[in-house]
Amino acid sequence: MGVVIEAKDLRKSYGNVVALNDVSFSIDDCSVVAMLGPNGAGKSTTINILLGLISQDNGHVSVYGVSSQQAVRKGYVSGMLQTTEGMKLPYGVSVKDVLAYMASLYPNPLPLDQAATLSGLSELITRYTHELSGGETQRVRFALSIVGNPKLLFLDEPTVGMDVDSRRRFWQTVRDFASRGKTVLFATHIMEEVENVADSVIVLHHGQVVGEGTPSQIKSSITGKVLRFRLPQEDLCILDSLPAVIHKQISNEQVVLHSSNADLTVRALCQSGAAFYDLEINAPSLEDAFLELTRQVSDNIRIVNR
Amino acid sequence: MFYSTLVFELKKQFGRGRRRYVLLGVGIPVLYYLVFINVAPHGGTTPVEGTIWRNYLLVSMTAFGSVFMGVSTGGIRFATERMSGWLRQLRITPLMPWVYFLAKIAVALLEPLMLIVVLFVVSHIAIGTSLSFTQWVQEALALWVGVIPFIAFGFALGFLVNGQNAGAVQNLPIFIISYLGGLFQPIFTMPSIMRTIAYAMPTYNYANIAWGLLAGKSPEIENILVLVGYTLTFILIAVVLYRRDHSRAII
Repeated sequence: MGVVIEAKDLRKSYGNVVALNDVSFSIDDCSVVAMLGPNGAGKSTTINILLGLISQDNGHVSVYGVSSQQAVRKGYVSGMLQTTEGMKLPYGVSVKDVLAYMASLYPNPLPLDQAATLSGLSELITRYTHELSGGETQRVRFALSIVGNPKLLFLDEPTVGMDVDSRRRFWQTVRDFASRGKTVLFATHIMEEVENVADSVIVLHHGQVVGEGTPSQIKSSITGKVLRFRLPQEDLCILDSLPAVIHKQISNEQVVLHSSNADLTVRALCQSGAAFYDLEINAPSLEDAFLELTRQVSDNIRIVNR
Repeated sequence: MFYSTLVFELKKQFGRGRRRYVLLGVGIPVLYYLVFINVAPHGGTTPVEGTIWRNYLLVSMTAFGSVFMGVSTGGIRFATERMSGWLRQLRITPLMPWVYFLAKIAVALLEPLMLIVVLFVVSHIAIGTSLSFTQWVQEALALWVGVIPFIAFGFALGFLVNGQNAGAVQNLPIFIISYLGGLFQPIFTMPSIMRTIAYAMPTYNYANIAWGLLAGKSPEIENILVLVGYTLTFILIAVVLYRRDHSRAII
Protein backbone atom coordinates (compact mmCIF):
# COMPACT_ATOMS: atom_id res chain seq x y z
CA MET A 1 0.00 0.00 0.00
CA GLY A 2 1.23 3.45 -0.84
CA VAL A 3 -0.01 6.77 -2.05
CA VAL A 4 -0.51 6.88 -5.82
CA ILE A 5 -1.99 10.35 -6.25
CA GLU A 6 -0.95 13.38 -4.32
CA ALA A 7 -2.81 16.59 -5.11
CA LYS A 8 -1.85 19.74 -3.24
CA ASP A 9 -3.54 23.13 -3.21
CA LEU A 10 -5.01 22.78 -6.69
CA ARG A 11 -6.48 25.97 -8.01
CA LYS A 12 -8.13 26.50 -11.37
CA SER A 13 -10.30 29.27 -12.77
CA TYR A 14 -12.06 29.64 -16.09
CA GLY A 15 -12.23 33.38 -16.54
CA ASN A 16 -14.06 34.65 -13.47
CA VAL A 17 -15.39 31.25 -12.48
CA VAL A 18 -13.35 29.51 -9.82
CA ALA A 19 -13.54 25.78 -10.56
CA LEU A 20 -11.08 24.58 -7.93
CA ASN A 21 -10.19 26.43 -4.79
CA ASP A 22 -7.23 24.89 -2.96
CA VAL A 23 -8.11 21.25 -3.45
CA SER A 24 -5.81 18.78 -1.70
CA PHE A 25 -6.19 15.04 -1.32
CA SER A 26 -4.28 11.82 -1.69
CA ILE A 27 -5.32 8.42 -2.97
CA ASP A 28 -4.03 5.06 -1.80
CA ASP A 29 -2.92 2.23 -4.01
CA CYS A 30 -5.47 -0.51 -4.77
CA SER A 31 -8.49 1.47 -3.67
CA VAL A 32 -11.72 2.45 -5.40
CA VAL A 33 -12.34 6.09 -4.66
CA ALA A 34 -15.44 8.12 -5.46
CA MET A 35 -15.39 11.83 -6.06
CA LEU A 36 -18.83 12.97 -5.10
CA GLY A 37 -20.31 16.34 -5.87
CA PRO A 38 -23.09 18.13 -7.71
CA ASN A 39 -22.58 19.35 -11.28
CA GLY A 40 -20.06 22.16 -11.35
CA ALA A 41 -18.35 21.04 -8.13
CA GLY A 42 -15.03 20.64 -9.95
CA LYS A 43 -14.96 16.87 -10.49
CA SER A 44 -14.21 16.93 -14.23
CA THR A 45 -11.67 19.70 -13.77
CA THR A 46 -9.85 17.67 -11.13
CA ILE A 47 -9.80 14.54 -13.29
CA ASN A 48 -8.62 16.51 -16.31
CA ILE A 49 -5.77 17.98 -14.27
CA LEU A 50 -4.82 14.55 -12.92
CA LEU A 51 -4.70 13.28 -16.52
CA GLY A 52 -2.64 16.26 -17.66
CA LEU A 53 -5.31 17.38 -20.14
CA ILE A 54 -5.57 20.82 -18.60
CA SER A 55 -3.11 22.55 -16.36
CA GLN A 56 -3.83 23.96 -12.95
CA ASP A 57 -3.27 27.65 -12.21
CA ASN A 58 -1.62 26.78 -8.96
CA GLY A 59 -0.74 23.76 -6.86
CA HIS A 60 1.03 20.49 -7.43
CA VAL A 61 0.07 17.03 -8.66
CA SER A 62 2.06 13.85 -8.54
CA VAL A 63 0.84 10.55 -9.97
CA TYR A 64 3.04 7.56 -9.13
CA GLY A 65 5.72 10.05 -8.17
CA VAL A 66 5.82 11.73 -11.58
CA SER A 67 3.86 14.51 -13.27
CA SER A 68 0.45 13.70 -14.67
CA GLN A 69 1.69 14.02 -18.27
CA GLN A 70 4.53 11.62 -17.60
CA ALA A 71 2.18 9.15 -15.93
CA VAL A 72 0.06 9.21 -19.11
CA ARG A 73 3.10 8.81 -21.39
CA LYS A 74 4.30 5.83 -19.40
CA GLY A 75 0.88 4.18 -19.65
CA TYR A 76 0.27 4.17 -15.88
CA VAL A 77 -3.12 5.81 -16.15
CA SER A 78 -6.12 5.80 -18.43
CA GLY A 79 -9.72 6.81 -18.23
CA MET A 80 -13.22 7.31 -19.53
CA LEU A 81 -13.90 11.00 -19.99
CA GLN A 82 -17.08 13.00 -20.34
CA THR A 83 -18.08 14.42 -23.69
CA THR A 84 -20.86 16.83 -24.51
CA GLU A 85 -22.01 15.01 -27.65
CA GLY A 86 -21.49 11.54 -26.21
CA MET A 87 -18.45 9.57 -27.21
CA LYS A 88 -18.63 8.10 -30.68
CA LEU A 89 -16.06 5.52 -31.66
CA PRO A 90 -14.05 5.95 -34.86
CA TYR A 91 -16.24 5.19 -37.85
CA GLY A 92 -15.83 2.31 -40.28
CA VAL A 93 -13.74 -0.10 -38.19
CA SER A 94 -14.55 -3.10 -36.02
CA VAL A 95 -14.45 -3.22 -32.22
CA LYS A 96 -11.44 -5.47 -32.51
CA ASP A 97 -9.62 -2.96 -34.73
CA VAL A 98 -10.13 -0.16 -32.21
CA LEU A 99 -9.15 -2.32 -29.24
CA ALA A 100 -6.05 -3.66 -31.00
CA TYR A 101 -5.00 -0.17 -31.98
CA MET A 102 -5.44 1.14 -28.46
CA ALA A 103 -3.45 -1.81 -27.07
CA SER A 104 -0.64 -1.10 -29.55
CA LEU A 105 -0.06 2.29 -27.91
CA TYR A 106 0.88 0.80 -24.53
CA PRO A 107 4.09 -0.86 -23.41
CA ASN A 108 2.37 -3.66 -21.51
CA PRO A 109 -1.24 -4.13 -22.69
CA LEU A 110 -3.78 -6.76 -21.68
CA PRO A 111 -4.42 -9.55 -24.18
CA LEU A 112 -7.39 -8.45 -26.32
CA ASP A 113 -9.62 -11.36 -25.34
CA GLN A 114 -8.98 -10.66 -21.67
CA ALA A 115 -9.89 -6.99 -22.05
CA ALA A 116 -12.98 -7.98 -24.03
CA THR A 117 -14.11 -10.58 -21.50
CA LEU A 118 -13.55 -8.22 -18.58
CA SER A 119 -15.69 -5.60 -20.29
CA GLY A 120 -18.40 -8.06 -21.33
CA LEU A 121 -17.67 -7.59 -25.02
CA SER A 122 -16.74 -11.07 -26.16
CA GLU A 123 -19.69 -11.40 -28.54
CA LEU A 124 -19.32 -7.86 -29.89
CA ILE A 125 -15.69 -8.04 -30.92
CA THR A 126 -16.29 -8.51 -34.66
CA ARG A 127 -19.04 -5.89 -34.84
CA TYR A 128 -18.47 -2.56 -36.56
CA THR A 129 -18.51 0.52 -34.37
CA HIS A 130 -21.54 2.06 -36.10
CA GLU A 131 -23.58 -1.07 -35.42
CA LEU A 132 -23.37 -0.72 -31.62
CA SER A 133 -26.09 0.54 -29.29
CA GLY A 134 -25.37 3.27 -26.75
CA GLY A 135 -24.83 0.80 -23.92
CA GLU A 136 -22.55 -1.35 -26.05
CA THR A 137 -20.53 1.72 -27.02
CA GLN A 138 -20.05 2.49 -23.33
CA ARG A 139 -18.75 -1.04 -22.77
CA VAL A 140 -16.30 -0.62 -25.64
CA ARG A 141 -15.19 2.70 -24.14
CA PHE A 142 -14.53 0.94 -20.87
CA ALA A 143 -12.58 -1.79 -22.68
CA LEU A 144 -10.54 0.94 -24.41
CA SER A 145 -9.66 2.45 -21.06
CA ILE A 146 -8.41 -0.84 -19.57
CA VAL A 147 -6.81 -2.56 -22.57
CA GLY A 148 -3.56 -0.67 -21.96
CA ASN A 149 -3.42 -2.35 -18.55
CA PRO A 150 -3.14 0.91 -16.58
CA LYS A 151 -2.49 0.83 -12.86
CA LEU A 152 -4.90 3.67 -12.28
CA LEU A 153 -8.23 4.30 -13.98
CA PHE A 154 -10.22 7.54 -14.01
CA LEU A 155 -13.94 7.35 -14.72
CA ASP A 156 -15.77 10.66 -15.15
CA GLU A 157 -19.48 9.98 -14.59
CA PRO A 158 -19.19 6.77 -16.59
CA THR A 159 -22.79 5.61 -16.18
CA VAL A 160 -24.50 8.69 -17.61
CA GLY A 161 -27.24 7.48 -19.92
CA MET A 162 -27.13 3.85 -18.76
CA ASP A 163 -30.23 2.05 -17.55
CA VAL A 164 -30.33 0.40 -14.12
CA ASP A 165 -29.29 -3.00 -15.41
CA SER A 166 -26.31 -1.80 -17.47
CA ARG A 167 -25.29 0.38 -14.57
CA ARG A 168 -25.20 -2.58 -12.22
CA ARG A 169 -23.27 -4.63 -14.78
CA PHE A 170 -20.88 -1.78 -15.38
CA TRP A 171 -19.91 -1.44 -11.74
CA GLN A 172 -19.42 -5.20 -11.55
CA THR A 173 -16.83 -4.93 -14.35
CA VAL A 174 -15.16 -2.04 -12.55
CA ARG A 175 -14.90 -4.12 -9.40
CA ASP A 176 -13.50 -7.06 -11.38
CA PHE A 177 -10.88 -4.76 -12.84
CA ALA A 178 -10.06 -3.25 -9.43
CA SER A 179 -9.65 -6.69 -7.91
CA ARG A 180 -6.59 -7.16 -10.13
CA GLY A 181 -4.73 -4.77 -7.86
CA LYS A 182 -5.81 -1.60 -9.63
CA THR A 183 -6.76 1.83 -8.36
CA VAL A 184 -9.93 3.49 -9.60
CA LEU A 185 -11.06 7.09 -9.14
CA PHE A 186 -14.56 7.85 -10.35
CA ALA A 187 -16.66 11.00 -10.36
CA THR A 188 -20.37 10.79 -9.71
CA HIS A 189 -23.33 12.55 -8.19
CA ILE A 190 -25.19 9.31 -7.54
CA MET A 191 -25.08 8.27 -3.85
CA GLU A 192 -25.92 4.68 -4.58
CA GLU A 193 -22.79 4.25 -6.71
CA VAL A 194 -20.67 5.63 -3.89
CA GLU A 195 -22.22 3.37 -1.25
CA ASN A 196 -22.04 0.23 -3.38
CA VAL A 197 -18.71 0.65 -5.10
CA ALA A 198 -16.34 2.99 -3.31
CA ASP A 199 -13.85 2.16 -0.57
CA SER A 200 -13.52 5.84 0.17
CA VAL A 201 -15.03 9.09 -0.99
CA ILE A 202 -13.94 12.67 -1.54
CA VAL A 203 -16.82 15.14 -1.33
CA LEU A 204 -16.35 18.18 -3.58
CA HIS A 205 -18.51 21.29 -3.45
CA HIS A 206 -17.89 24.62 -5.15
CA GLY A 207 -14.34 23.58 -5.90
CA GLN A 208 -13.50 22.63 -2.35
CA VAL A 209 -13.04 19.33 -0.56
CA VAL A 210 -15.74 19.36 2.11
CA GLY A 211 -15.43 15.76 3.29
CA GLU A 212 -13.11 12.79 2.95
CA GLY A 213 -13.20 9.22 4.27
CA THR A 214 -14.98 5.91 3.88
CA PRO A 215 -18.71 6.14 3.13
CA SER A 216 -19.46 5.11 6.72
CA GLN A 217 -17.07 7.71 8.12
CA ILE A 218 -18.81 10.34 6.03
CA LYS A 219 -22.18 9.15 7.32
CA SER A 220 -21.05 9.24 10.93
CA SER A 221 -19.53 12.68 10.48
CA ILE A 222 -22.98 14.03 11.15
CA THR A 223 -24.60 13.05 14.40
CA GLY A 224 -28.25 12.82 15.33
CA LYS A 225 -31.15 11.52 13.30
CA VAL A 226 -33.04 12.52 10.21
CA LEU A 227 -36.81 12.96 10.53
CA ARG A 228 -38.99 12.82 7.46
CA PHE A 229 -42.71 13.55 7.51
CA ARG A 230 -45.49 15.33 5.69
CA LEU A 231 -47.10 18.43 7.06
CA PRO A 232 -50.11 20.41 5.71
CA GLN A 233 -49.18 23.92 4.53
CA GLU A 234 -51.08 25.66 7.38
CA ASP A 235 -49.01 23.85 10.02
CA LEU A 236 -45.60 24.70 8.55
CA CYS A 237 -45.19 27.61 11.00
CA ILE A 238 -44.74 25.23 13.96
CA LEU A 239 -41.44 24.01 12.55
CA ASP A 240 -39.65 27.10 13.85
CA SER A 241 -40.55 26.26 17.45
CA LEU A 242 -39.20 22.68 17.40
CA PRO A 243 -36.17 22.05 19.61
CA ALA A 244 -32.85 20.37 18.66
CA VAL A 245 -33.30 21.01 14.93
CA ILE A 246 -29.95 21.56 13.23
CA HIS A 247 -31.27 22.00 9.75
CA LYS A 248 -34.60 21.78 7.98
CA GLN A 249 -35.60 21.39 4.43
CA ILE A 250 -39.12 21.80 3.10
CA SER A 251 -40.45 21.08 -0.34
CA ASN A 252 -44.23 21.26 -0.72
CA GLU A 253 -45.54 19.26 2.23
CA GLN A 254 -42.47 17.05 2.62
CA VAL A 255 -40.33 18.03 5.57
CA VAL A 256 -36.83 16.75 6.32
CA LEU A 257 -35.40 17.69 9.69
CA HIS A 258 -31.92 17.00 10.89
CA SER A 259 -32.18 16.75 14.65
CA SER A 260 -29.48 16.44 17.27
CA ASN A 261 -32.03 14.87 19.65
CA ALA A 262 -34.82 13.07 17.84
CA ASP A 263 -36.77 12.25 21.03
CA LEU A 264 -37.05 15.91 22.01
CA THR A 265 -38.03 16.98 18.52
CA VAL A 266 -40.70 14.31 18.11
CA ARG A 267 -42.22 15.01 21.53
CA ALA A 268 -42.52 18.70 20.71
CA LEU A 269 -43.96 17.86 17.31
CA CYS A 270 -46.70 15.74 18.94
CA GLN A 271 -47.51 18.38 21.52
CA SER A 272 -47.82 21.08 18.89
CA GLY A 273 -50.98 19.44 17.63
CA ALA A 274 -49.83 19.70 14.01
CA ALA A 275 -51.44 17.18 11.65
CA PHE A 276 -48.21 15.60 10.50
CA TYR A 277 -48.22 12.13 8.92
CA ASP A 278 -45.90 9.52 7.34
CA LEU A 279 -43.22 10.07 9.98
CA GLU A 280 -39.91 8.24 9.52
CA ILE A 281 -36.87 8.49 11.75
CA ASN A 282 -33.56 7.28 10.34
CA ALA A 283 -29.88 7.43 10.93
CA PRO A 284 -28.41 9.86 8.40
CA SER A 285 -27.90 8.32 4.97
CA LEU A 286 -24.92 9.17 2.82
CA GLU A 287 -27.13 11.59 0.96
CA ASP A 288 -28.10 13.31 4.23
CA ALA A 289 -24.44 13.52 5.19
CA PHE A 290 -23.60 14.87 1.76
CA LEU A 291 -26.31 17.51 1.93
CA GLU A 292 -25.21 18.52 5.41
CA LEU A 293 -21.55 18.76 4.40
CA THR A 294 -22.31 20.86 1.35
CA ARG A 295 -24.77 23.02 3.33
CA GLN A 296 -22.11 23.86 5.85
CA VAL A 297 -19.96 25.25 3.05
CA SER A 298 -22.60 27.40 1.46
CA ASP A 299 -25.44 28.10 3.83
CA ASN A 300 -26.94 30.55 1.45
CA ILE A 301 -27.40 27.97 -1.28
CA ARG A 302 -30.68 26.15 -1.18
CA ILE A 303 -30.15 22.51 -1.89
CA VAL A 304 -33.05 21.15 -3.81
CA ASN A 305 -33.47 17.45 -3.45
CA ARG A 306 -32.91 15.60 -6.71
CA MET B 1 3.51 3.43 -32.62
CA PHE B 2 3.60 5.42 -35.86
CA TYR B 3 3.15 2.24 -37.86
CA SER B 4 0.09 1.05 -35.94
CA THR B 5 -1.38 4.55 -36.02
CA LEU B 6 -0.89 4.73 -39.77
CA VAL B 7 -2.46 1.29 -40.28
CA PHE B 8 -5.42 2.27 -38.10
CA GLU B 9 -5.90 5.54 -39.99
CA LEU B 10 -5.79 3.62 -43.28
CA LYS B 11 -8.37 1.15 -41.98
CA LYS B 12 -10.65 4.01 -41.03
CA GLN B 13 -10.16 5.75 -44.35
CA PHE B 14 -10.59 2.77 -46.64
CA GLY B 15 -12.48 0.40 -44.36
CA ARG B 16 -15.91 -1.03 -45.03
CA GLY B 17 -17.86 1.96 -43.78
CA ARG B 18 -15.97 4.48 -45.92
CA ARG B 19 -15.47 2.88 -49.30
CA ARG B 20 -18.40 4.57 -51.00
CA TYR B 21 -17.10 8.00 -49.96
CA VAL B 22 -13.70 7.24 -51.45
CA LEU B 23 -15.45 6.04 -54.61
CA LEU B 24 -17.53 9.21 -54.77
CA GLY B 25 -14.49 11.40 -54.11
CA VAL B 26 -12.69 9.86 -57.06
CA GLY B 27 -15.78 9.37 -59.22
CA ILE B 28 -17.21 12.89 -59.17
CA PRO B 29 -14.14 14.71 -60.56
CA VAL B 30 -13.80 11.99 -63.23
CA LEU B 31 -17.44 12.47 -64.17
CA TYR B 32 -17.13 16.29 -64.26
CA TYR B 33 -14.09 15.94 -66.47
CA LEU B 34 -15.77 13.61 -68.95
CA VAL B 35 -18.91 15.78 -69.13
CA PHE B 36 -16.94 19.01 -69.68
CA ILE B 37 -14.83 17.36 -72.39
CA ASN B 38 -17.94 16.16 -74.18
CA VAL B 39 -19.52 19.60 -74.39
CA ALA B 40 -16.25 21.24 -75.49
CA PRO B 41 -16.11 22.37 -79.15
CA HIS B 42 -13.60 20.67 -81.49
CA GLY B 43 -13.16 17.79 -79.03
CA GLY B 44 -11.32 20.10 -76.65
CA THR B 45 -8.45 20.81 -79.00
CA THR B 46 -8.90 24.60 -78.91
CA PRO B 47 -5.61 26.29 -77.98
CA VAL B 48 -5.58 27.90 -74.55
CA GLU B 49 -2.75 29.36 -72.44
CA GLY B 50 -0.03 27.57 -74.38
CA THR B 51 -1.77 24.21 -74.38
CA ILE B 52 -5.08 22.75 -75.55
CA TRP B 53 -8.41 22.93 -73.71
CA ARG B 54 -8.73 19.27 -72.78
CA ASN B 55 -5.29 19.23 -71.11
CA TYR B 56 -6.08 22.49 -69.35
CA LEU B 57 -9.38 21.01 -68.17
CA LEU B 58 -7.68 17.85 -66.94
CA VAL B 59 -5.50 19.95 -64.65
CA SER B 60 -8.49 22.01 -63.47
CA MET B 61 -10.55 18.96 -62.56
CA THR B 62 -7.65 17.12 -60.95
CA ALA B 63 -6.93 20.23 -58.91
CA PHE B 64 -10.58 20.51 -57.84
CA GLY B 65 -10.79 16.82 -56.86
CA SER B 66 -7.52 16.95 -54.95
CA VAL B 67 -8.54 20.11 -53.09
CA PHE B 68 -11.82 18.46 -52.15
CA MET B 69 -10.11 15.32 -50.85
CA GLY B 70 -7.30 17.19 -49.16
CA VAL B 71 -9.69 19.42 -47.23
CA SER B 72 -12.18 16.74 -46.30
CA THR B 73 -9.73 14.25 -44.80
CA GLY B 74 -8.69 16.78 -42.25
CA GLY B 75 -11.91 18.74 -42.06
CA ILE B 76 -15.10 16.82 -41.59
CA ARG B 77 -13.64 13.56 -40.37
CA PHE B 78 -11.17 15.17 -38.04
CA ALA B 79 -13.94 17.43 -36.66
CA THR B 80 -16.02 14.34 -35.90
CA GLU B 81 -13.15 12.62 -34.11
CA ARG B 82 -12.40 15.73 -32.15
CA MET B 83 -15.97 16.43 -31.07
CA SER B 84 -16.73 12.80 -30.29
CA GLY B 85 -13.96 12.72 -27.71
CA TRP B 86 -11.78 10.27 -29.63
CA LEU B 87 -8.93 12.76 -29.94
CA ARG B 88 -9.22 13.40 -26.22
CA GLN B 89 -9.17 9.69 -25.51
CA LEU B 90 -5.96 9.41 -27.53
CA ARG B 91 -4.46 12.29 -25.60
CA ILE B 92 -4.58 10.22 -22.43
CA THR B 93 -2.62 7.38 -24.02
CA PRO B 94 1.17 7.25 -24.50
CA LEU B 95 0.60 8.29 -28.14
CA MET B 96 2.38 11.54 -28.96
CA PRO B 97 0.01 14.03 -30.65
CA TRP B 98 2.42 14.64 -33.54
CA VAL B 99 2.33 10.93 -34.42
CA TYR B 100 -1.45 11.11 -34.75
CA PHE B 101 -1.33 14.20 -36.95
CA LEU B 102 1.53 12.85 -39.04
CA ALA B 103 -0.38 9.63 -39.75
CA LYS B 104 -3.48 11.65 -40.61
CA ILE B 105 -1.48 13.85 -43.00
CA ALA B 106 0.06 10.78 -44.63
CA VAL B 107 -3.40 9.34 -45.27
CA ALA B 108 -4.67 12.75 -46.37
CA LEU B 109 -1.92 12.73 -49.03
CA LEU B 110 -2.79 9.26 -50.23
CA GLU B 111 -6.34 10.01 -51.43
CA PRO B 112 -5.42 12.88 -53.78
CA LEU B 113 -2.62 10.72 -55.19
CA MET B 114 -5.15 8.00 -56.00
CA LEU B 115 -7.38 10.55 -57.68
CA ILE B 116 -4.52 11.99 -59.73
CA VAL B 117 -3.48 8.56 -60.99
CA VAL B 118 -7.05 7.51 -61.82
CA LEU B 119 -7.85 10.75 -63.63
CA PHE B 120 -4.63 10.68 -65.62
CA VAL B 121 -5.18 7.08 -66.66
CA VAL B 122 -8.82 7.74 -67.63
CA SER B 123 -7.79 10.84 -69.52
CA HIS B 124 -5.05 9.02 -71.40
CA ILE B 125 -7.18 6.00 -72.30
CA ALA B 126 -10.64 7.50 -72.80
CA ILE B 127 -9.78 10.94 -74.17
CA GLY B 128 -6.41 10.17 -75.67
CA THR B 129 -4.56 12.88 -73.81
CA SER B 130 -0.94 12.63 -74.79
CA LEU B 131 1.77 14.20 -72.67
CA SER B 132 5.40 13.23 -72.48
CA PHE B 133 6.35 10.93 -69.62
CA THR B 134 8.24 13.76 -67.92
CA GLN B 135 5.18 15.97 -68.21
CA TRP B 136 2.87 13.36 -66.68
CA VAL B 137 5.25 12.95 -63.75
CA GLN B 138 5.72 16.71 -63.33
CA GLU B 139 1.96 17.30 -63.40
CA ALA B 140 1.30 14.52 -60.90
CA LEU B 141 3.97 15.82 -58.52
CA ALA B 142 2.86 19.45 -58.77
CA LEU B 143 -0.79 18.58 -58.17
CA TRP B 144 0.07 16.17 -55.38
CA VAL B 145 2.55 18.23 -53.36
CA GLY B 146 0.47 21.35 -53.93
CA VAL B 147 -2.41 19.81 -52.01
CA ILE B 148 -0.56 20.30 -48.69
CA PRO B 149 -2.01 23.78 -47.94
CA PHE B 150 -5.49 22.34 -48.43
CA ILE B 151 -4.82 19.55 -45.96
CA ALA B 152 -3.71 22.23 -43.48
CA PHE B 153 -6.88 24.17 -44.32
CA GLY B 154 -8.89 21.02 -43.53
CA PHE B 155 -7.35 20.66 -40.08
CA ALA B 156 -7.90 24.34 -39.28
CA LEU B 157 -11.56 23.91 -40.34
CA GLY B 158 -11.78 20.74 -38.29
CA PHE B 159 -10.88 22.69 -35.18
CA LEU B 160 -13.34 25.46 -36.00
CA VAL B 161 -16.50 23.48 -36.65
CA ASN B 162 -18.41 20.97 -34.60
CA GLY B 163 -19.25 17.48 -35.82
CA GLN B 164 -22.82 18.16 -36.86
CA ASN B 165 -22.36 21.12 -39.20
CA ALA B 166 -18.93 20.07 -40.49
CA GLY B 167 -20.30 18.78 -43.81
CA ALA B 168 -21.92 22.05 -44.82
CA VAL B 169 -19.23 24.27 -43.37
CA GLN B 170 -16.59 22.33 -45.24
CA ASN B 171 -18.14 21.83 -48.68
CA LEU B 172 -19.27 25.40 -49.28
CA PRO B 173 -15.80 26.97 -48.92
CA ILE B 174 -14.33 24.26 -51.14
CA PHE B 175 -16.70 25.13 -53.98
CA ILE B 176 -16.27 28.86 -53.45
CA ILE B 177 -12.47 28.80 -53.50
CA SER B 178 -12.53 26.38 -56.44
CA TYR B 179 -14.75 28.70 -58.45
CA LEU B 180 -12.91 31.88 -57.46
CA GLY B 181 -9.60 30.19 -58.20
CA GLY B 182 -10.65 29.44 -61.77
CA LEU B 183 -10.99 25.68 -61.50
CA PHE B 184 -14.51 25.69 -62.98
CA GLN B 185 -14.02 28.57 -65.38
CA PRO B 186 -10.65 29.86 -66.60
CA ILE B 187 -9.88 33.21 -65.02
CA PHE B 188 -8.98 34.85 -68.37
CA THR B 189 -12.70 34.67 -69.20
CA MET B 190 -13.56 36.53 -65.97
CA PRO B 191 -13.85 40.29 -65.37
CA SER B 192 -10.68 41.90 -64.04
CA ILE B 193 -11.91 42.23 -60.46
CA MET B 194 -12.51 38.47 -60.37
CA ARG B 195 -9.03 37.90 -61.71
CA THR B 196 -7.56 39.99 -58.91
CA ILE B 197 -9.45 37.86 -56.40
CA ALA B 198 -8.27 34.70 -58.11
CA TYR B 199 -4.61 35.68 -57.77
CA ALA B 200 -5.09 35.68 -53.99
CA MET B 201 -6.79 32.28 -53.92
CA PRO B 202 -4.75 29.23 -52.89
CA THR B 203 -6.65 27.26 -55.52
CA TYR B 204 -5.48 29.52 -58.37
CA ASN B 205 -1.87 29.50 -57.24
CA TYR B 206 -2.02 25.73 -56.89
CA ALA B 207 -3.54 25.04 -60.30
CA ASN B 208 -1.49 27.73 -62.04
CA ILE B 209 1.73 25.82 -61.40
CA ALA B 210 0.24 22.76 -63.12
CA TRP B 211 -1.31 24.81 -65.96
CA GLY B 212 2.06 26.43 -66.53
CA LEU B 213 3.79 23.07 -66.73
CA LEU B 214 1.45 22.11 -69.59
CA ALA B 215 2.73 25.10 -71.53
CA GLY B 216 6.30 24.14 -70.70
CA LYS B 217 6.74 26.94 -68.14
CA SER B 218 8.53 26.28 -64.89
CA PRO B 219 6.63 27.07 -61.64
CA GLU B 220 6.38 30.74 -60.74
CA ILE B 221 7.92 31.72 -57.43
CA GLU B 222 4.88 33.88 -56.46
CA ASN B 223 2.62 30.85 -56.74
CA ILE B 224 4.88 28.83 -54.48
CA LEU B 225 5.22 31.63 -51.93
CA VAL B 226 1.46 32.14 -51.75
CA LEU B 227 0.94 28.40 -51.15
CA VAL B 228 3.63 28.27 -48.47
CA GLY B 229 2.08 31.34 -46.84
CA TYR B 230 -1.35 29.72 -46.76
CA THR B 231 0.11 26.50 -45.38
CA LEU B 232 1.84 28.28 -42.52
CA THR B 233 -1.24 30.36 -41.74
CA PHE B 234 -3.51 27.33 -41.58
CA ILE B 235 -1.02 25.40 -39.45
CA LEU B 236 -0.80 28.36 -37.09
CA ILE B 237 -4.60 28.54 -36.82
CA ALA B 238 -4.77 24.79 -36.16
CA VAL B 239 -2.12 24.96 -33.44
CA VAL B 240 -3.80 27.91 -31.71
CA LEU B 241 -7.14 26.11 -31.78
CA TYR B 242 -5.55 22.88 -30.54
CA ARG B 243 -4.23 24.81 -27.55
CA ARG B 244 -7.68 26.30 -26.96
CA ASP B 245 -9.18 22.79 -26.83
CA HIS B 246 -6.44 21.93 -24.40
CA SER B 247 -7.69 24.41 -21.82
CA ARG B 248 -11.24 23.10 -21.54
CA ALA B 249 -12.44 20.48 -19.10
CA ILE B 250 -15.08 19.10 -21.45
CA ILE B 251 -15.12 19.74 -25.17
